[in-house]
Amino acid sequence: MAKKLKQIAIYGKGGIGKSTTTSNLSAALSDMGYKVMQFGCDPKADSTNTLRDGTYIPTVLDLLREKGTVKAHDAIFQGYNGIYCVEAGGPAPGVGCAGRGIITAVQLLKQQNAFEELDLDYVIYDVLGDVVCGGFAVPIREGIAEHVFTVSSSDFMAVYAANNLFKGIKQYSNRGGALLGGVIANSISNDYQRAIIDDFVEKTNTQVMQYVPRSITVTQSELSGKTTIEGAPTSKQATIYRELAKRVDEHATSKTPEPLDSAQLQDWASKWADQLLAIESGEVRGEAAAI
Amino acid sequence: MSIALKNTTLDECFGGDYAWSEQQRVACAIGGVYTALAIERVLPIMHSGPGCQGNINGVLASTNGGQNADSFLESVIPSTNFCEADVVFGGQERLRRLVEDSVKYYDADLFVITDGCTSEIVGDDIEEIANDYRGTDTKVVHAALPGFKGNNVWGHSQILHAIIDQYLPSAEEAKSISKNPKQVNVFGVVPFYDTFWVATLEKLEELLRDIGFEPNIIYGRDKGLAAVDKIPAAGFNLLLSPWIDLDVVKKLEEKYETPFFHYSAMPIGPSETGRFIREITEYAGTDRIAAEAYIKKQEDRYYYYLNHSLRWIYTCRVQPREFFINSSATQALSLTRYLVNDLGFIPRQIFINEDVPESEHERILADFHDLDWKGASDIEVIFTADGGLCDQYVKRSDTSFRKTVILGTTWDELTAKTSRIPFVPVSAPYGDVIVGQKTYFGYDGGLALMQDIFNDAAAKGMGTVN
Ligand SMILES: Nc1ncnc2c1ncn2[C@@H]1O[C@H](COP(=O)(O)OP(=O)(O)O)[C@@H](O)[C@H]1O
Ligand SMILES: [Mg+2]
Repeated sequence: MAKKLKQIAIYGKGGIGKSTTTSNLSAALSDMGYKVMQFGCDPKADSTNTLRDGTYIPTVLDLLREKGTVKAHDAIFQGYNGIYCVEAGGPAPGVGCAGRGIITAVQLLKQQNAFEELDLDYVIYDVLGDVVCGGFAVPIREGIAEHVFTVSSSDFMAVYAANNLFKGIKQYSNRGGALLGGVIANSISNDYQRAIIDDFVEKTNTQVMQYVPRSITVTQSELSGKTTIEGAPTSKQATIYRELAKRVDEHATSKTPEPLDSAQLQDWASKWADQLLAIESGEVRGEAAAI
Repeated sequence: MSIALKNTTLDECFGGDYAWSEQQRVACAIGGVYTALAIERVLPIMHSGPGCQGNINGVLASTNGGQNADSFLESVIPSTNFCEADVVFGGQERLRRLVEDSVKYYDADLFVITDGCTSEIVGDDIEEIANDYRGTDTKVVHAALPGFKGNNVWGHSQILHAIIDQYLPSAEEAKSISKNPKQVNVFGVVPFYDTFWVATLEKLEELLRDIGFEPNIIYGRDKGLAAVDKIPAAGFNLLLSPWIDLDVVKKLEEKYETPFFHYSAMPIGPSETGRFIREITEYAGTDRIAAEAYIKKQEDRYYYYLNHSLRWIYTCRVQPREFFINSSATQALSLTRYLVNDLGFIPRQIFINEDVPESEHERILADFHDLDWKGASDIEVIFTADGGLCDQYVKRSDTSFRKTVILGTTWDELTAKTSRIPFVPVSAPYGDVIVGQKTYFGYDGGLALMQDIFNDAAAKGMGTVN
């Protein structure tokens, strides 16, 4: 009997920690016994590096550029614990259309039934989320992924990107697009950062999947070309990623988020800015400790 | 088109339930390449998808009176055949190589790099490639022709602007060029799209020469870059259309201080042609007596021919006296002036289908009101991008006794056949026939149009044409 393939997309602003989180998620799910593929959808093409000892793999678009046609299996590489790694890649900066590149890469693998043939349990797309063109929406739009998780810190620009992504999800939600699983809160190292994210998910009708602190272990593992799961399996950080993987695995129903409109988002941000200012200047020390 | 339906009416074919939303009467912006092709030894290099040229070719050339490009046949136009790989990676480098090779292998005087909608969306920079040839002996200009910005008429204007801005000398350089007060550059005709352009321009050139000017026309036989080069030297520019190329003559006025004389219609028949000659003579201050003598001579000839068939015309079993037009603004205005002022016909609805910018509507309407007819101010002129609207109006109106004639495209011929009323093709797509040296311009043109209308009316009256 064919098992049900679970397809997940991880979105978030550039540099927020998508690839780090995704790779640790893939590694943890793989350790749980699942067959996992990680599909990098970022022209940066470094999504799967820490699964493959810090090395880059040829991207689907690289292969397409060289050969004109691509056999799915030429673009699929194995990494840590047999995880299948694919990078969509992108055109040279300032040329061509990266969005169309993603469409091309995803369709190429789909057409060749690569997912079915590999008998996968999980495909996880790691998608650059602050690009707004339609190509980057493909994993949501075409019902390729069922669940979307967004990586965000408490930083306003990250929240802004997350909110934009929610708009995209809502847009496609009644047309069979992916729904929102929740927010993976990254680089959350103190209470007010946590309070900001909590407030945001509450306002937008979603949930936090995991609070991931900023940790030197991540950096150390990355420097040795590894995920935290592989490089520091007994660390506290690895436990946090394993917890995340467990929640993602148990997660069954995603929802349509309620994104804030621009005015609401600005209001929301300026309220928090006022509070943060008050905290930093020591005015509300007592209260701040409580949040 | 008409072939498949030779002995059947549309209602018989489609059971009376059909709409013509897909009938093409204009092409996409890429159609502008025909303006480049109309200038001898100018070669477009197309950065657009496979099929783009084919699509514009149908409506503007092959099915538009059996035309094809002359100095460079359509089939040899270099093209990158912009495909998915170019969307993803950008097609600029492939275009650069294509231009390099084209410049090497084609003996052209000017290369015009054009693109289309896909490359414009992706953002390929054709200007940068044209700039590779700046300061060299190879003349290369560029014109972006994305279909989402406009149709072939817009594309035509892009080509002319590209030539004026990038090829012709700068205002500064042109200061040393001495003006020739008799030289008149002619604008307002969209070559190929205006099915009759070749013969119209030939006859117009003859007429202007006959009344003492030195016409300078850039399109057609034996013109080419020599004519283009002369543009800055003109005493004035002549614009013969209600709106097309108005931006071009205005630009030339700004750049080279060349004034322009704007006559809204391409004259057909004695009234308009005479009026045009008088007005241009007055504008340029040339010999009025000679102009009057010319008019008299031509009118005598016109009426001689008319009289020569007058009895047949009056006894023609079908007497058309009303008309629908489905065409461009230039063609519709020119035809209306002749049909109303000279033949005494009454306009039903005039459909103008080349997607005229709204800012021009009022001025064009004023041109239509300028008729020798007391009903002129009530004339119904409909600006629409829906070429099939005319069909609906015709079918709903009373066309009994075949008194109504349709002047339009070969698509409208289908309507005329269904309603069994006279029809004369006047604009793109003209039909699967050779247009040859046909034109309705001037005195002879008026006669030719009158003959075509009455011949078709008579044929339909005798039941020899479906
Ligand atoms: N929780 C974390 N703790 C420490 N460093 C992190 C953490 N998350 C991300 N980083 C670091 O931030 C940088 C950017 O992360 P990355 O996953 O490549 O971002 P993205 O894929 O969103 O562009 C990397 O150097 C990564 O090691
Ligand atoms: Mg990344």
